[in-house]
Amino acid sequence: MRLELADIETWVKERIKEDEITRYMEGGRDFIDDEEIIEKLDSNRNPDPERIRDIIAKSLSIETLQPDETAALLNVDDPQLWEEIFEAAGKVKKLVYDNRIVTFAPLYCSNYCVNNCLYCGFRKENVKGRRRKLSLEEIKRETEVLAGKIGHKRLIVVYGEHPISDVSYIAESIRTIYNVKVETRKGYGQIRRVNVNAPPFSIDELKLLKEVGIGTYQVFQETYHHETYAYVHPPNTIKHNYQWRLYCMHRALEAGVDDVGIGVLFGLYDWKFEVMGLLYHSRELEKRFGVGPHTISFPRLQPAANTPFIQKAKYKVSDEDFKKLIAVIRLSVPYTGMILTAREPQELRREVIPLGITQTDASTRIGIGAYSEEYTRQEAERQQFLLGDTRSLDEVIRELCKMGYITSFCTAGYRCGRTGKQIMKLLRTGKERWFCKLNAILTFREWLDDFASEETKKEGERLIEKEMDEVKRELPRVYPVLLKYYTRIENGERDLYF
Amino acid sequence: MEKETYTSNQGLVKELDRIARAIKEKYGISVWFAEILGRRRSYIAGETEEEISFLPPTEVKVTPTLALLTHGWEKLKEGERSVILSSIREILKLHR
Repeated sequence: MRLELADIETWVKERIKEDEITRYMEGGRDFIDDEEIIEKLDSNRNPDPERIRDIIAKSLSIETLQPDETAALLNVDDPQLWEEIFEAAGKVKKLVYDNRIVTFAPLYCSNYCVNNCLYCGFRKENVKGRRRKLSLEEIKRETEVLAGKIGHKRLIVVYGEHPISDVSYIAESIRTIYNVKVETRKGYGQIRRVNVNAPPFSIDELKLLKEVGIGTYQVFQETYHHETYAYVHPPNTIKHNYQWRLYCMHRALEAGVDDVGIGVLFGLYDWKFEVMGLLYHSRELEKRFGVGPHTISFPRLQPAANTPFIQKAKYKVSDEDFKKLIAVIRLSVPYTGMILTAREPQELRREVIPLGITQTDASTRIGIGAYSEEYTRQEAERQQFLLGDTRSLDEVIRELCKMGYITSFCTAGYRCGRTGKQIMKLLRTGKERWFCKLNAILTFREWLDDFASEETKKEGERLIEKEMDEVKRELPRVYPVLLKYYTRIENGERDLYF
Repeated sequence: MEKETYTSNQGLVKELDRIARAIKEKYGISVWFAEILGRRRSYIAGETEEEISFLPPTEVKVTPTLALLTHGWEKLKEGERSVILSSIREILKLHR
């Protein structure tokens, strides 16, 4: 389909539905009050260590923190106290999700975009960027590699905002992905959960995505700071509208999409302010819908082709501060999933995973069509940004095993109605972690049999043995069922879950 | 006119919650309801047990788009199962 400029302009003008913003606002204002956030950060300076320890104890009981409490954590200076915060962050993650790490891969389907975000390689004025939209046949080929050669079970599909990649295309691409089934060594490979990173949609469009069975609907606010937001997302673009983006999760939850993911692009504004923004957003969703964010993401600005804004950015986050922000998010919204991506380099990923990470990507390619075309080096012109870690899933999994983390390909919650309010309750009561462990064992066994190298298989089996022992000890009534399922998987059956 | 989904039909959600409570009271088993969307099951209403068994739940298709999930289905007699399913189907008709 070839679109004329006038068609695109009309499409842009009609995107934003004011009544789907204002219906959620109170007194004509959105729920991010910049002055209040700055005041909270100011008034909680030099927090007493005992107060910090009380706040940590609250997080360990899986309660969402109050803004004053998060502000106090962000103001800690004492390195010893930071060590306590880091340790607690790891404990909270273990209480809620156990020692499993879920892996996924991004699949970029289209990089056409009508927006002009200063930090993004896909912005419309970046004439050096190569534009491409995958056909459904190409999406099928990409999926065959992801599900059949690498062994992923979860994808995050990514689209620019443009009429040629509108909601109908997105729905079709998701259907295409779900229909791919590839024979493997012992069983078959299939994508079982498709999460979506896409522009904000209207309620009716979100209902369409729900119908095709999307997993998490992920939209990052990029920055919660109003003035910065307006600057980096130039006027006369859809993305310039702060509230249309801010309230897209409200629309999603109203449309029945019950797992939503929020995030910030760290480096656009002060990182402490942004962490507060994420907390306010989480609390707002909890208050309105009884469901907080299923995941929080915290990508940092990375170099992108022909994007000078990034080199000049004032608020770039250091590695040290990056660790702090991850730990504070973990303590502030203890039930949420936290996604660390391959934007970050290998060494840093190793350091921050113990601070509460629940999901990460591997074997990542972010060029359009990059999995099936199998190019081995990064190509800036067809990527949104440059990756920090390009290791294979096999390598990442082996490293996680050595660190004591079991890789999970679990999509069980999504398959038996443990979503939305239901999963919130299980996460908050620390019960979900047992489901995590059981399903991690089963799905990891599948992956080891179907895709692992010999070296990784050995490491993995050692870890599985330890995990099975724990189940035998802690859940003696469940253990025989696990064993039965495990044997069935060893014999080539697939997709069994608790 | 916006399209209606299970979760946007709050009357139905409340009714399914009520049924889940009634089943718990009468038969002593916890059930929850989920919308069937391809392979996805999206939570609508009902509850999980306070004492979770961690065993895989049984899925019972009430209609092509609505599933009942429970750990206690095998504890019920055939007649009890039919009564439960037909009452849910009746309620669904009223809320269409």
